[in-house]
Amino acid sequence: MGKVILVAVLSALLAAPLHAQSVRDGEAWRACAASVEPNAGTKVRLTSGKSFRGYVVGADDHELRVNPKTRVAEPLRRLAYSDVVSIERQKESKWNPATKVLVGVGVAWAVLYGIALLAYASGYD
Amino acid sequence: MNGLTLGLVLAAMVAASPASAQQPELKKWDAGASFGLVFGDGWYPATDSYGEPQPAYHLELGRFWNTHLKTDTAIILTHRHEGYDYTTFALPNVPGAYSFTRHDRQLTAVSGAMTYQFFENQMMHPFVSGGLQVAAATNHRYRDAETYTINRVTYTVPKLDQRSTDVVVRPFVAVGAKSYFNERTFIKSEFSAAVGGGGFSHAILRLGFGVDF
Repeated sequence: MGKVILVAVLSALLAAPLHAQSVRDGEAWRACAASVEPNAGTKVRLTSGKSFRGYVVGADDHELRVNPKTRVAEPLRRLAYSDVVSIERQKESKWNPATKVLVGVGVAWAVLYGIALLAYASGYD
Repeated sequence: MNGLTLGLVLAAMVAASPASAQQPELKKWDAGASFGLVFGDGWYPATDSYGEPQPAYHLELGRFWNTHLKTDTAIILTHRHEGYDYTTFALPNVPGAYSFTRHDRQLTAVSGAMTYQFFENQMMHPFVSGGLQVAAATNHRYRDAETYTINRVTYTVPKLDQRSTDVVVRPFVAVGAKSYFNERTFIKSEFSAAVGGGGFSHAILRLGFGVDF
């Protein structure tokens, strides 16, 4: 019985700093979230190892609410501050990926066509 | 008993509703059309290569089995390719005897593939794919009877009108990406390479539009 109590006390002593760390981190992220303006683009990393991009739509003392940036709309994610590892601001691209591909292909085609034209023209000098 | 059944059904509905609300409804099918260039002529193993890429059109349909795995089928259509075959042959006292034969080639293929799509519910999904292309390659070789003269020796090449259709199977692998404009409409860019009995057969580079439904 004595051993069990000893183990329990040691476990509590070891866990206490971790808990304190978690609480301090949570407070830090709460302060950070409060400073982020609504609908700001962010990348949130979680203690589970997962991360996702989204828009901060609200924060209070208990949770951070993030609208995930997905193709098909998903429900808001409500995150406890203790689950947050990092919150990074993200710049939003004005173009969607498909537009970027189209522009890239267009530029590549124009360059190749231009080189071919130059080669053709130089052949007649 | 009826009351119990009703209660169970209601309980199931109540339990199911929040769970289903958490998951977005992703479309199970996609379809598209694309334009591409075929490099290499491994689909026509018995003919000479001219080296230039040939245009090809894909009409395709895909069925998602989960958020990552998909079955793809496609019809591949090509233009009729017209050209000449230059053939040399041995004749007594005629060094370098030759003839020209016209050919019209056309290829129609179907393909089936399994595709793994990376990421979930994002605006861009890279993918890898592998499968089989089965092509019907038609070849029409023809010429009129012609008379040539080399070193004052005259020879006649007989008329030819030969049609053949080869069914060719080519395994292929592909990499590419689906890049979305919005929730459902996308551009698909893909590079695929196929192999035949003698190694590399052909490659296709293509770009097309599609929609999830």
